[in-house]
Amino acid sequence: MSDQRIAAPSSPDAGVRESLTPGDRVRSAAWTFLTAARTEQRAMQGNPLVLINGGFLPIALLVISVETRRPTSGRAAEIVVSVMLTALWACTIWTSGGVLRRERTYGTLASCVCGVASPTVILFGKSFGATLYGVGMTLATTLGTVLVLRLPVAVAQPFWIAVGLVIVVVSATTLGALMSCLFLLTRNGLIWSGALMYPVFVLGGLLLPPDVLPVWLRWAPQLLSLHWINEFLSGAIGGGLSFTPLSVAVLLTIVYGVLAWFTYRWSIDKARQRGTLDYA
Amino acid sequence: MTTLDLASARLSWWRTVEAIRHGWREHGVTYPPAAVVFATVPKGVLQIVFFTVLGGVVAGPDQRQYAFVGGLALALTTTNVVTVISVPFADKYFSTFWRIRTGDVPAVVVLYARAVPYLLVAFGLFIVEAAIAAAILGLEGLAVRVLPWLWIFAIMACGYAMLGIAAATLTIAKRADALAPNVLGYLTMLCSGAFLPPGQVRWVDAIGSVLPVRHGLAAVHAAMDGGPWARQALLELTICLVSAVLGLFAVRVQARRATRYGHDDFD
Repeated sequence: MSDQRIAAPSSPDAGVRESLTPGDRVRSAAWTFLTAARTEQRAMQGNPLVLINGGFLPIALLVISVETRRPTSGRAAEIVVSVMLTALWACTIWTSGGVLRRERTYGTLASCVCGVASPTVILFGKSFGATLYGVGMTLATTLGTVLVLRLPVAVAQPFWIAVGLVIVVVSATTLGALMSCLFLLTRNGLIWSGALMYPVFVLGGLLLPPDVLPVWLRWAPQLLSLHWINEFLSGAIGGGLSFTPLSVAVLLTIVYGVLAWFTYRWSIDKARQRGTLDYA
Repeated sequence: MTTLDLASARLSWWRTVEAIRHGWREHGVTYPPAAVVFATVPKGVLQIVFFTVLGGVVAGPDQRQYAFVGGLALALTTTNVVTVISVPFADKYFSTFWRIRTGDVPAVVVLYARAVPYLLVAFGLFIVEAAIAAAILGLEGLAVRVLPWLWIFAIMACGYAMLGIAAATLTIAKRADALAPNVLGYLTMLCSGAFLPPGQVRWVDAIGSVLPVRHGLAAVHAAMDGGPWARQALLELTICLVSAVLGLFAVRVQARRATRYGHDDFD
C-alpha cells in the first residue's frame, strides 16, 4: 500500500504535464509567478531591511548630499534620481537578493526547487514581489524627503519617467534574482550582502559620476543597468531625453535574467549532487 | 586584603579573561577570517572612498578632506564596531542568555568582556582600511595628521559599541537584529557630522549631539586645525560612559523580564 502511494504521484503528474497545452503552461507559470510575488510581498511587510534601506537610507543620503551645499535645480534632480537608485541597490541586495538565502534559512529551499512548479519562475516571482515592495518604499521615502527639503525638482517628461520606473522594477528583479543565486553559493550570505553595497555605491556610476573614477575603472558603471537607468531618468526629468541608455538598460536586464537562470540551475544541480541543498 | 578576598578577585579576573577568550572564539565563528578579509575590509575601504569622493562631488576639495576624516569614523563604527551586536544576538539565537544571567559573573560583564575582541579586531581592521583608502585617494598626508588623534577614534568606537549593545539588547525581541545596527548606522551617517558639517540642519545637530561619534569627530577636526578640542573629547567620553550605563540598564531590564516571564528567547 505504502509503495503504491509513493509511486503513484509521479506518473499522473507526468501525464498531466504532457497533456497541458502551451496556453495552460503559460497560465500556470503566470499563476505561480504571481503567487510567489504575493507571498514574498507579504514576507516583506515584516522585513525590517526594507524599512532600513528603502526608508532610512534615501533620507540619510539625500540630506547629506543636498544640505552640505544646496544644488541648483538641474543638479538637484540628478542627485534625487541617483539617491533613489542607490537606495534601491541597497534594498535589492537585502530583499530580492536574499530570497534564496531566506528560503534556506527557513528550510523551504528544498521544497521550492523540487516542487511541480518551475523553481526559476518561483525565484523570479519572489524577486519581483520583493523588488516591487522595495521600489515602492524607496520611491515614497525619496519623494517625501524631496518635499520636506523643498528641493527644486521639476519633471519634464512624466510618461518617460513612468517607463523608466517600470524598467527599474524589471531590472532590479533580474539583478536581485542573480544575486540571490550567487548568495546561495556561500554560507556567509549576510556578510557578503553587506560587502556588496559599497562597491556599487563607488563604481556604479550613480551618486559618483564615472568621470571621478580612475580611467582604468570607468568601464565598471557600464555593466550596471541602474547606471543607464539613472542617465535615462535624469534626462527625462531634465528634458534631455535619450533612448540609448534605456536600450542598454533593457539589454543588461536580459543578460542578468539569463545569467540568473543559468546560475540558479547550476547551483541547484550542484547542491543536489552533493546532497547539500539546505547547507549549500 | 585577606587571602580569601585575593582568591575571589583572582577568580573574577580569570572568569572575565575566559569570557574575553570565549568572545575571541565566537568572533572567529561569526566572522570567519576569509569573510573579514574579503568582505569587511573592502567594505570599510570603499565606504571611506565613497564618502570622500562624494564630498568632492557635492561640495569641492575642502569637503573632500573633511569627508575623509568623517569616512574614517563611519568605517570604524558602522562597518567594523557594529559587529559587537552579534554578542547579544548570539545569546538570543542559541538560547544561552539564561546561563549568563544566572551565573556568578554579572551578565553585563560577560557581554562587555565578550565584546572586547570584536572591538580590538574592529580597530585593527580600521587601521588597515584607513591606510588602504588613504593610498587610493592620495590623502596619505591627511591620514598621517589623523594618527595622533587615534585615541579619540578609540573613544568613539567604545561609545558606539556600548550603545550598539544597549540598543540591540533592548530591542532584541522585535526582530531588531537587522534594525538596531542599521538604524544606528544611518543615524550616525546622517547626524554625526561625518559628512554633513555641524550647523547646517538644526534637527540633525540635535540628534547627533546625543549620539557617539559627533563630539569625537568635532574634537579631531578642531585638533587638526589647531583649535581647542578638549571639551568635545570630554563630551565624547561622557557619551561613551552614558552608553555603558545604558547597556547595563538594558541587560538588567531583559534579565528581569526573562526572570519574570520564565523565558529567554525574547520572541
